[in-house]
Amino acid sequence: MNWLFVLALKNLRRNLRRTLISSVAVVAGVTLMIIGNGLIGGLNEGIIRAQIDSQSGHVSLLPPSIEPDAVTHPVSDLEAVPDEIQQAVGAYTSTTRVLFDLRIIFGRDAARGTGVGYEPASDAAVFLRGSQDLEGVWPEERGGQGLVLGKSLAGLLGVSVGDVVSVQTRTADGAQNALDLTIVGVVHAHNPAVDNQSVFMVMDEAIRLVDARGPSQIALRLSRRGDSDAVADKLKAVATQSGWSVESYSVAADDLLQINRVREKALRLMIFVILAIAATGIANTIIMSVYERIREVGTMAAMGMQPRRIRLLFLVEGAIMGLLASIVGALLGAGINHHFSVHGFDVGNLPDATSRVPFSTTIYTSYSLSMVFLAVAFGVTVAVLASVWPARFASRLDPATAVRED
Amino acid sequence: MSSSLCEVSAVEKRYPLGETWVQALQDITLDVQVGDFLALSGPSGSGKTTLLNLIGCLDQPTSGSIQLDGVGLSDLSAKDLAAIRAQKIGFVFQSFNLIPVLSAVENVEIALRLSGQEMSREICAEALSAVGLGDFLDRRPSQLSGGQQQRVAIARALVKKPRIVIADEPTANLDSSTGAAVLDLMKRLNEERGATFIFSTHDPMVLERARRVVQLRDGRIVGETGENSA
Repeated sequence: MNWLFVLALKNLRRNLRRTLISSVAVVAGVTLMIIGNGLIGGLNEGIIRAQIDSQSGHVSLLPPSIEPDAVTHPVSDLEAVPDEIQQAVGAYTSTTRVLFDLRIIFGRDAARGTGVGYEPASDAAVFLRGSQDLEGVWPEERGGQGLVLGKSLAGLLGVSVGDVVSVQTRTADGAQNALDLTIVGVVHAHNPAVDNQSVFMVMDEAIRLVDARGPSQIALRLSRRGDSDAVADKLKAVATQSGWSVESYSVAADDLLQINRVREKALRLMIFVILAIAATGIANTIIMSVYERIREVGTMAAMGMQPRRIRLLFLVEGAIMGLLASIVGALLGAGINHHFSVHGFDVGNLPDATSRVPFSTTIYTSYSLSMVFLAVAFGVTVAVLASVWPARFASRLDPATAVRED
Repeated sequence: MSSSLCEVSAVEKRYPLGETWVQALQDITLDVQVGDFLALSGPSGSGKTTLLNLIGCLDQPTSGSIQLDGVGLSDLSAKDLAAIRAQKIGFVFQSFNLIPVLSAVENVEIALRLSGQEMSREICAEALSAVGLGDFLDRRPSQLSGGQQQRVAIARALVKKPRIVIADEPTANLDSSTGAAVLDLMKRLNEERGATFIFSTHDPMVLERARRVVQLRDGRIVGETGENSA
């Protein structure tokens, strides 16, 4: 068996340039498979993280007047949190927020945004701020005074820390209300939903502005993300009695993840096409190799090499070609993936269509060793399958005529 | 006292050619003895190669029977024929047919491995020394002359100690002096080791050295000269 491997290796070196050219497609396929999966995984993770860290926590409870998928944020029918819900969420790390639509005015410029009234004592434990860059401070460090703007929104208005802006909105009773507030911070969350939209102020300030009678959401952070669906199901039993809705981040992020699933299918199709090209290239290389070596194959058959061993020889040649190309592709793909899994890459300047979409604009590709092994195994399998027909052809050559082939 | 190694009885071989059939061999009866140095002679198309293919288990007769070393070949599967070739038959081809990516000794090693015998580089080196190529073990075929390549092929054929060596026009691609040297080598191995050789040729120099010459014409045996002739 060992000598068959050595012979196969020597045969592949015989026409090195052709072998290398045929291998390029396998290298490309395997590289794309690893990078593509890392990218899709990274995008998914970016969407999930952004959803959890800026929108819903792991589990979100919404009052009866708030539609889970609502684009606007009405405050008119908000109500105090019922005791049974208060009690049910007491076992978890939680916080409340009031969300409301507002206009922010600076000089002659105005922009629409989403006001976020938050509990200074508990918000950062649910909506993590670790990945955010903050210029200035959060309002609680100024005794609850002022507001923090998303970076893009601040840029749109041309304001910076220290400027005073007017915040205009409707109260729960439908009356117009406005406050002049100082910008104490500008936050860059690398998340369009925050950077383009959000205007943060402490809950007391928000209540003063909109006169809400309760929060727009209760958000929970769990010690294990994987428990979210189970906790959501558990809370539903209590919350639905009061007309509140409960959803885990996975449900909230599902629409965006669906889009990624389409991307994933497109990627798979692309990988399939590239590997089909690779398979054709390898099959072509092996069949050319068979045709060039008909006399050799006949000679080996004449010396008593069994047809299955002749078949095996060519399959091993295909497998070696596939393995070496897959290893190169895997190293290339894993190297690129690793780089972007550490440093990430910024997609912050995407079009405005993404302005309200919660996702991380710095994408860190996901990186798993099992994916690398899977890609290598896939590349080798494609190469071996591509070699089946040429190998079969070689093993069925008539030795009597093959030994005299010119 | 010599004994029969290969008995060919009333063998006929026909090939399809388009919508017709070509009669390559008919009514061939031949007894190859152990230790024979037998030449098949005849013009091109007389059936020499076809007969060698049948004796060498590369092909099977349309009718008649062939017994090699006591085994009937007619009903054997391709797998069984390959096993017989691996163990009992050595081949020497007109174009040498060495594997170009392997060195001289590796070419010989392949034959020994396929025969199922214990692999030993020393045995292969000895086989090459016996044909005068002890200093060329690691040379690739492209680094050897035609005569040296044919000697590697002879070493390859003999390394497994086959019951019979089949050589199809072994000197046809060699100049006359190299061809004579190769033939003398084959004859020496036949005499010293008792290896049985059967080869095809129409080279008079080869025929002179053969102890038995079987003449073929139009697929039939038309005469025999030499030690075993009637």
